[in-house]
Formats: sequence, C-alpha cells, structure tokens
Amino acid sequence: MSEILIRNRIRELRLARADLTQEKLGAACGVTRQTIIALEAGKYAPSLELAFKLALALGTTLDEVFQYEEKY
Amino acid sequence: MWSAGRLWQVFIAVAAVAALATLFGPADRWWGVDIGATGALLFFLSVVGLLVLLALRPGEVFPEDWSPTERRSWMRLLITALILLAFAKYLWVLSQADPVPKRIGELPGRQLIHFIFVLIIAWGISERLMARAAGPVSEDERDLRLRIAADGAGDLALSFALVVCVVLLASLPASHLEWWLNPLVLANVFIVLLIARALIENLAMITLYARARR
Repeated sequence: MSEILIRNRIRELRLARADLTQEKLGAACGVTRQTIIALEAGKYAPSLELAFKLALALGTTLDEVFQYEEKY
Repeated sequence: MWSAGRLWQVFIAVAAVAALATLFGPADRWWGVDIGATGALLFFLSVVGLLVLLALRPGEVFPEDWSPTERRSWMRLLITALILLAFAKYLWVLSQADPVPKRIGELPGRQLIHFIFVLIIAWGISERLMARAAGPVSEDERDLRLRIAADGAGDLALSFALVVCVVLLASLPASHLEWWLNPLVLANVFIVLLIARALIENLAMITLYARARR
C-alpha cells in the first residue's frame, strides 16, 4: 500500500514576497487565514481549484508550489 | 490581570454551573439562598459577560488557529448542550404531570421558555459578533468538507435514535404506551431528538477540526 504525500512551498514563496501576509493570501484565494496556516503546516490538501488560485496569488506555477510524492 | 481567553473560560464555567443550578437546583432554600433564582441571575450575568468580551476582544477569546466556523461550532455546541439539558428537565417535569396536558397552553414550560429565550438571544448576538470579527472570508472549502462529514455524523445519530425510539415504543406494555403516544409528549421527544442531532453534529465538527490540526 502506497502513501501519498503532497508537499508545498507556500510559506517559502509567501515569505519571499515581504508584503504578503497569511491574511492577504487567504483573501486573494477566498479562504480563511486558518486554512493558509493548515496548508503551510502540511495539514490540509487543497482542491485543484484552490491549488491554482494559490499558485496564481503567489505569482508562480502549480508545480512550483506543490510536489507530489508516493511512499511505498 | 486575566487574559481575555482565561476570562472567557471563567465565564463559560460560571454559566454552566449557574445553568445547572437553575435547571436542577432544589426547590427549597439552601442556607436561606434560593438556588434557582440565584443560578438564573448568575447565568444571565455570565452570558452578558461572555457577549461583552466577544464584542470587545473578539480576536483574543479563541486560539488564533481556530477558523471562524470552528469558533461558531464551539458556541453552538455550548448552546445546544444547554438547550438539551433544559429540555431534559422539562421532559422530566412533564413526566410527573398528572393528568398529562392535552393542550399547549397547559404545558408547564414558563421556566424553560425564559431560559431558552435568553440562550437564543445570546446565540443571535454571538453569531453577529463572530461574523463581524471573521474578516473577508468566514467559511471556505476546508470548513465545508468538515461540515459535510459532521452533517453525516448528525444524520447517522438521528437515524439511530429514531430506530431506538421505535424499538422502545414497540416493546413497551400497553399501559405505558398511552402516555408516550400523547401528541404533546411525542412532539417534545421529537424536539429533543432534533436538538440532540444538532449537538452531535457540532461535537463531530469540533472533533474533526481538532483531528485535522494534529
């Protein structure tokens, strides 16, 4: 049985843009600040729509933000 | 000086104890103190305290990583638990009534109505205050996913409770069945089941949030 891991670089990419707070990123993507906290901590796997919105708000592409891993 | 979070916990504890004293306190005075009336006053004051705190320090009452929906679920859990307790007491009073009331006007429910009225007003105000403090987004896909799961838990619990009620009614002797099949008794039992369903749903909601944070 394989375990699927979805890692993300949201925190790293957000901190690279000094003015982008969790609150602002959440508002830009239509989610709460608490969801951004959960995403950055790797405790929530977003929908495809939210993943695209996050990439757009961070000014990058989907595969730059999310990495998919499979563990056996 | 106590923090807003600690003050909130103290008000919740006082409100819970005062609600229990109001609903289940002895009818006689205890050391010259009317437990029911004192409990009702303390309950009212602690609810006012909670609302003032929520209005003045909305961001400090709950932990920072709790979403607006999780905060609302906690408030709903508390309120539905108190309403359920009030109805349980009411059903107990109703079970002692002889003869069983046949019309709504004959129901012994003045204390219950006052108690629930205070709770519903407090609930409405707290929902408005929390919505005002929520920021630009108050609910998102993560909240909706958890809500769907919690909704399922509530539906399952209600279905189970209904089956249990049917089995109990089917197994009761005919002499007891007459009391249970009184329309007003049956209506109150259904109301209790619906409140219990809401309680289970909110309990599931906060459990799912806590699990998602681990």
